[in-house]
Amino acid sequence: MGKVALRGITKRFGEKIAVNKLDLEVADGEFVCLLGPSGAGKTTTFRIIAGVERPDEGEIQIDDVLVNQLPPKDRDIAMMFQSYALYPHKTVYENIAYPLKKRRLSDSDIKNRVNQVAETLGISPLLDRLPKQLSGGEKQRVAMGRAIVRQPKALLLDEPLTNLDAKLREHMRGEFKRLRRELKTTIILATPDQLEAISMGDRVAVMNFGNLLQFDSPDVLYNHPTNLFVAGFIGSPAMNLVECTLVDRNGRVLLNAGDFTYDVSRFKDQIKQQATSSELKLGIRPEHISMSRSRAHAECYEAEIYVVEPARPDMVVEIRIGKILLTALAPETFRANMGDKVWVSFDREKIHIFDKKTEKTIV
Amino acid sequence: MSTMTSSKNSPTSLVKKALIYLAVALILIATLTPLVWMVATSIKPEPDILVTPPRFLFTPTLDHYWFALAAPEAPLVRGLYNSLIISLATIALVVPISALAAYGFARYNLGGGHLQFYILTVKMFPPIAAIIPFFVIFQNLNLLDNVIALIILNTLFNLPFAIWLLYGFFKEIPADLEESAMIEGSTRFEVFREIVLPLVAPGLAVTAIFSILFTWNEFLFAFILTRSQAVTLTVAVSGFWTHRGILWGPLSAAATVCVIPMFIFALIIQRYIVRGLTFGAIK
Repeated sequence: MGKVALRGITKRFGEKIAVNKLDLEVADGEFVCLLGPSGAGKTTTFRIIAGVERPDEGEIQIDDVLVNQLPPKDRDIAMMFQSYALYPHKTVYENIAYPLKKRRLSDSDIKNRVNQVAETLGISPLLDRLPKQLSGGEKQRVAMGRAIVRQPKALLLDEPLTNLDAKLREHMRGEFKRLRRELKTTIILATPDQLEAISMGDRVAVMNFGNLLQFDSPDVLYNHPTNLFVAGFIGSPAMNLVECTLVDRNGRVLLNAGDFTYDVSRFKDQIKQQATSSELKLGIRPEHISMSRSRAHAECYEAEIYVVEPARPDMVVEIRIGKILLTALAPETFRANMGDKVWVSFDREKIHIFDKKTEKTIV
Repeated sequence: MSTMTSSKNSPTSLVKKALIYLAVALILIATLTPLVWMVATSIKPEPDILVTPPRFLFTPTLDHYWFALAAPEAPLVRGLYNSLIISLATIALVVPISALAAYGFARYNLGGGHLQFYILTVKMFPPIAAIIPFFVIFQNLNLLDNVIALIILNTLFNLPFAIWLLYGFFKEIPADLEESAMIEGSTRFEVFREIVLPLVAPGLAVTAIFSILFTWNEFLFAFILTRSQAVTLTVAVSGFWTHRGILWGPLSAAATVCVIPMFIFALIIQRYIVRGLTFGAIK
């Protein structure tokens, strides 16, 4: 109980396509994150699942039952809005009790459940307050309480942590994981923050402009992104993407970035098969670029240090090869000044090659 | 507005305060003088009323009130009764109808804005231009000198303003709240009753006040469409404008009687407006 399946869901608002032929299957008890920037279609998808928005095309199934025609109140889904949507004229207790009242539970049952939930979320002392007397974090927990008190089939959380300050957000991420283990409900969480999605979800669905780009576990998304957007979105600092042209030189296949070339002969077959043109992009994550004072091997490039950001635990270093700027990570012990010359090399196993036009991954 | 960086007790802020108080005082004087004069006239003995220069010291008398209540050309008691019925019936109609209509406009955008505009234009219409057609219509319906005619007309002319006012209030309520309630298990109507209405309560109160005020003070339609049965208080008061001359004393007395119920009503209702507004920001 709690399997959610979307098939071919499309929603248009006038000219704009908010959700484009979305296929998504969330298994019972799974914690899925919908990841994407603003306007990706996350909230619209949620509203369609919850039933407050009708899709133009497609089917929604909850536990293998078609629910397209079912009104929100009969779908047994709980949704927590980004704005929390707390009823301002009701106390915290009444807010959390509302869904139970609607299900005609007895007063004593309601009391027990609400108190239980309040305990779990640590908001018991707030039960008599009105929403306007609560802090942001407290409001968020009340909204959470109202969503989980019903023990619904699936829980939809729309950017629950976005409006909290950084420290609270970190704390709540941990709280969520703990709650998740206790609740065992299917949870779908929408967020624009890739760190949140990666750290909390069993699987993450990356969306942009209404399209689902990739739906995989965080590991797979990180190591094997299937397109340019996912590659550039997941991971912080972001993957370096360099525009290059494919050239054949003396039997070797090279990527020419202008200021340096990279040998990709070992991927020759894949590239020939999948590339639609010779315009490609080379991707390498900052953590897979190594720098040293001396030229370690043939595949090193001479670069100049452009900016050093002494962040911790890793230093973020921007290096310049000709006119191309790359971001690299260096260990804390790295000592260098702007303008210094270093030799950089890329981890051979961690190269990504993308087709510039289709934006799909070739390697 | 220029920024005041002076401290609370500095000369500039004192001057500013003084000016504000002065402005308020002037406005109060301008508004209250006619009212005070009216009440004063109603208890002044007859010879003191039209004397120049005006007399402020006199021995009060209730003669005018007794005269006014008994006067046949100005049926005050009947007028009071009719005005009450018409006003209460009007808000009983206007508030629910405008609430539902405004909610429909706010949430469903019925008529795509055109219907709303059309309704608003009813308010822009000069009532006096419609008086003859209305007279004919009500004559044909046999509703002349009948409170029902006035109830219909007052409802009609108060709805546009009420709808426009409540539309603003409904728009203020985030759709999130209603959707959340629906997901939690409420029907649209339950949402309207339990979530939306409590939050627009100040709007409803304001609508009720304005409607009742307009209806209570309404003179034109009442004057044309009533004879003796359905006379409203406003028309009754005008009865002192006789062929013998204007009977200022009884007129003032009657007018005072006319004002007092509204005064009390406003005092009672304004508490609800204040209470509703202190629910504060939605988030």
